[in-house]
Amino acid sequence: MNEHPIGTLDLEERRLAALASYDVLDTPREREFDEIARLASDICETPIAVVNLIGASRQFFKAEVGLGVRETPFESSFCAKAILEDEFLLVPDATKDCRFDGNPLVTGEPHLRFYAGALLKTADGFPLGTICVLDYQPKTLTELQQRTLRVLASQVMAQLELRKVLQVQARELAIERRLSARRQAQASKLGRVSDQARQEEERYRAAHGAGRVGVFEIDVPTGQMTVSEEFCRIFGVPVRRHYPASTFENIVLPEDRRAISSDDSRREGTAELDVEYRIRRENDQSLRWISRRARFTVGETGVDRMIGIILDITESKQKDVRTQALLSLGDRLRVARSAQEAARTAAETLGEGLGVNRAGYATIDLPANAFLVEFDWLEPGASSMEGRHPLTAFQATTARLASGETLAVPNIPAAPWLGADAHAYEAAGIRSFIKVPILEAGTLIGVLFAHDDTPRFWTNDEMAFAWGVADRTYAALGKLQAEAQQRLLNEELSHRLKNTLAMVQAIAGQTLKNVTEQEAVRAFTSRLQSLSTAHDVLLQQSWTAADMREIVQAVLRPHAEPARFSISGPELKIGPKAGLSISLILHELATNALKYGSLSNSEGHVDISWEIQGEAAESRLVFIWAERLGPPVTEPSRRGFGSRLIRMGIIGTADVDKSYFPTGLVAVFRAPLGLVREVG
Amino acid sequence: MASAQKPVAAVLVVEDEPLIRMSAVDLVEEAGFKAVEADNADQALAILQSGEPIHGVFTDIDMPGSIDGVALANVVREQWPGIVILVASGKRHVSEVQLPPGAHYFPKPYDAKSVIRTLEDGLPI
Repeated sequence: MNEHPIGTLDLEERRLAALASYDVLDTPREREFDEIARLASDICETPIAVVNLIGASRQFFKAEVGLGVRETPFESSFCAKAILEDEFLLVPDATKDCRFDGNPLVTGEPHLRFYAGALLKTADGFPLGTICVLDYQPKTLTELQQRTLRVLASQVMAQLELRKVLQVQARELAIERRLSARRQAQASKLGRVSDQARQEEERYRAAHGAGRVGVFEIDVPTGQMTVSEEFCRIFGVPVRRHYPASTFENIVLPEDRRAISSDDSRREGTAELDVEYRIRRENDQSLRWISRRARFTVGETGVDRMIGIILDITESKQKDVRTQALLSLGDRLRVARSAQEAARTAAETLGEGLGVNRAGYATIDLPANAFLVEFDWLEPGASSMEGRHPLTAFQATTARLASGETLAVPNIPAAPWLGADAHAYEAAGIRSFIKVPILEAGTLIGVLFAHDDTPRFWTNDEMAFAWGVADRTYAALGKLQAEAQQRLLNEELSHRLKNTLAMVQAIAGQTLKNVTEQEAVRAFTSRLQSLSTAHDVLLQQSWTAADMREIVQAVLRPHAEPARFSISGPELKIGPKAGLSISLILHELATNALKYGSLSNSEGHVDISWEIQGEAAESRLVFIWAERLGPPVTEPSRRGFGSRLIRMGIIGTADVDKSYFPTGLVAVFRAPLGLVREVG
Repeated sequence: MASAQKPVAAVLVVEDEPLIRMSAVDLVEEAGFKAVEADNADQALAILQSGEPIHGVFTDIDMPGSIDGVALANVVREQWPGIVILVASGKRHVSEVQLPPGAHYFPKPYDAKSVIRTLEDGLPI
């Protein structure tokens, strides 16, 4: 191995660089790796198992069972050979294999005969070492044992990846520290950092146990299970080697128990092998998705063992849930009526989507150096942060957010850049958070936040989800703001219009003061009022549509007691033109009824009703004014403005039937529905 | 025979727009009351404080001066609780919180009949 073929030189250098990036050589034993080695030895039924890393001309045992040493001479390494082979190397009897029959460990002490190794390979395909099992006797591995060894190899890689992520983070922390050292004159202590990183890893694992493989074996006749440490963590039970299968079966959600195996289905070998189910994790009762893959081994008396692995797949399941949540958030925000409602909806979506303690939206008032939380979504037991707070306790956080940076802090005490902010978070019981800034014209105006009281890693999915929520919230807030401005403008215009109408009324009053026919003057001013009333109803919908019933009620209100009218008809939104037209017509009808018709006595009544007739393009509004119990009426001979206005019909359609029955006037108006609904 | 002639009730009309004030005065007089004019709330308060007998106040809301019609209505309710208060405005909604209890609100352009009816109901004739 000292001389590389020319073509592999580059490759070997890159492989060594990859290995170095994991910074694992010469590190102390770690339980996770030991556990994997132990499992390999148990499952493969060999006295020796090793997690082995191949450096430059040396090999290092990250974990070992049955050897008692952490390093052996490189020249005699099986694994150095294995690393040149494919994914898997199986040597049933080394004395009969030309690659090993000269190996001093085979020819002399400890007389190794059997070797099987699965490659530890990075995502880029660089081999780092192996997980291997060895025996003093020649033997072979069943297919299942071989497969398990490969699974354990990827488990080792998962551990190495995790360590690496934590170390990169620790290094970033160290850089942060160095930067702040200028101010604090405080040197970074690498040891403490890596301690912290390790603690974080522990907590992360305790909290999630996600993305790791748990291994199990069920002794079918007895229902006794042998499980790995990771298996216990995934289920949230105390770490033990043996459990009755029923312990885990009871943790599975009752509605998902159909998916899992039972004593019977295992004995019969009919249990499904690859299944997904949900559990209520024992230690924290959190809902997790589990994927299980298993195989049976068959002995002389039938199925004797079920061996398999489990994976916590909650993350990927949650991803689907979050995608769905974002879609429904968009729909809900579109119909939100106020900024408060939009912020509330966003907080709920974020909180539920991330499964945190607290989520909310804070309005930032930089000039006043304060922030306002109008609403926060809370997990049961979490305390609210609603209200106005000074920003002074969050200077470092605010500075970063103001520069547009999204903050995802997995563990607040391990983020020295937070400086004094950390105390404020501690006081509020916050250990980790995601904060997405919302900027307007370069100024920080709001922050969407998610807090948790435990340290937690924020995955890329979770970050993307938070961004998705923030983007949609921002768009919704912008739309609401524009609408609010429009409303304000409408109110102001309406105010002016009505003052103008009041002026017209006053001018008419003064101009026509000496006109003998004061009746005409009053008719004029009351028409002005009904116009103004219709305007009010239309304004409520920003002049886009008005409710028919509201128009009718508002116009008739000044004329007589509500008890004198019956109003009936389907809910109908009508456009502004039709609204004004119907208002003026109703005003004239009511005025006439007061003078001559059914409102001129004490017992008369008016039935006002409308309906839609016909289908689609043919559909029309039929509006009926029917008086009864009034004095006998006849068609008036004189045609004034009022009766001309009525004859014009709704929006000038002139489709009107007026009948003077002895019981009272009945007027039927018709107009195409499209015209009635027309906006503008 | 000096009849114990009942003095005519007086209504203070407060409105900055002269035309509208003019027609409001007409309306009050038509109803048989005496109209006293003020073109803003400050002037109205001065008249009230002068001791001139006033039984009703009919005021606009938006007017120049230190206080608006809503504030005037509240001061009147506070200091002269017996006075009938009528408020008119082009604003769509005047929340009842803003106006003192018992004050009557009329959207502009107002209906002369309901204003007169309110005056007749509330004032001694």
